[in-house]
Amino acid sequence: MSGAPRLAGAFGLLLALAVLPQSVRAQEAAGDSLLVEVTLAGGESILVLAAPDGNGSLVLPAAEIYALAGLSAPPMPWIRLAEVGELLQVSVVYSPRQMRVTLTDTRGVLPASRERLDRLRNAAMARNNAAFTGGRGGLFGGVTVDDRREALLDLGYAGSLIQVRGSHSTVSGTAFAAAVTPARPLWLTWSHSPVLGSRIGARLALSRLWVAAEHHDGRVGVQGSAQAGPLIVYASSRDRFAVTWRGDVDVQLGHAGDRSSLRVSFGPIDPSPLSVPLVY
Amino acid sequence: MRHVPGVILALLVAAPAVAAAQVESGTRLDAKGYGVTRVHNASPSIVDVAVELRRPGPADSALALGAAVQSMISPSRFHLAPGETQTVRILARETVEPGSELRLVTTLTPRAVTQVEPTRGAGAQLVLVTRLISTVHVQ
Repeated sequence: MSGAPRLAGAFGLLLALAVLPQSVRAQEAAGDSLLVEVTLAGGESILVLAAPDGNGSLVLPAAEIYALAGLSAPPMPWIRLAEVGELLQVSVVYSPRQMRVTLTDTRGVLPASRERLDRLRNAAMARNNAAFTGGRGGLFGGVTVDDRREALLDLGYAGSLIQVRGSHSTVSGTAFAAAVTPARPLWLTWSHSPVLGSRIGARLALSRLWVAAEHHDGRVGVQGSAQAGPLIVYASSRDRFAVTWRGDVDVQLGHAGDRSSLRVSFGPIDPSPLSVPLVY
Repeated sequence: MRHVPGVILALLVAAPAVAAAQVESGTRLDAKGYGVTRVHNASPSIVDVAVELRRPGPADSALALGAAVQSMISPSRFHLAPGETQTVRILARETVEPGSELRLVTTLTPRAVTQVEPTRGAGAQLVLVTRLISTVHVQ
């Protein structure tokens, strides 16, 4: 090791010792550190080396807690349990008997919570809302009347893989619709009505990718989105696309019709990856 | 010698404190050397618990223990009130061959609850320390 790195290392060690809370130093010297599982409720869990603060609480490594929350590196090396709640705006529960700290982001303000919600939305888009498990499936139907003395009668069947529905309206005539889920991430639909004509649709959604296509009036429309880390790409056959980079500074490049645009933004409001930035 | 009958009487009167606890029969350490187990106090008294990770002893001895494994056991020393359960997290800090077996040694010492009155002469109390040895499978 050359002199400069050694000097820098020694300086770093002195700096770390200066900022390390007394309790942490005392506990580490005593070899009394604890292995604690920190869980972001509904999300991921990590294992961290924590130190008791002497008051029945803990001092945690800040970098790992911030990484769990999806935040960039914090300014301090250690963080007390009470500070976690204040700085991250989450509720904190420490269970010594389970050696676990649970962070609950009830308002969904953390980037990690938002990413989890994005994944859930993608998964929900792949779900056939008309599908029911065997015990709840079966025939369904109903009658609707209004003050014009018009009426709608509908009848159908909903199962775990398929739903079919037929209806007759005194206003718009007879219509049919069917939805099938042949495999978990794939959802196929077909509908026909005298007003809207025939439509065929398909949707494939995985955790970070979804593609939807629709055939209507002899035209096919396709749109989809894919995410890789902070990069999200959205494209539509209707001459629209958007490339979004989410970070400390958000960058979004978009095109719609005959107009292209670029937006650079900052702050807590993430740009929607499905919208094209506009000057208006 | 005149105290001997009193000592014997005290031994008979003072019920030995027995540590009755439950530990998981098997614990798994994953490829990173991490595992979780639990210790439950099923006895009517408070017990002090010490947990350590050791290598097994000679093959012909089921109870003999080998050297301690460098590991972080969290917590390694604690106490349990009656009915309480403690989760114990284990992280081996030395390389352990995958597929091998280690021993988790849980020592339970009940806290003395019976006080012999001085007026009744000399007394003694039997404290039965229990050591539970369970298997740790390394994956």
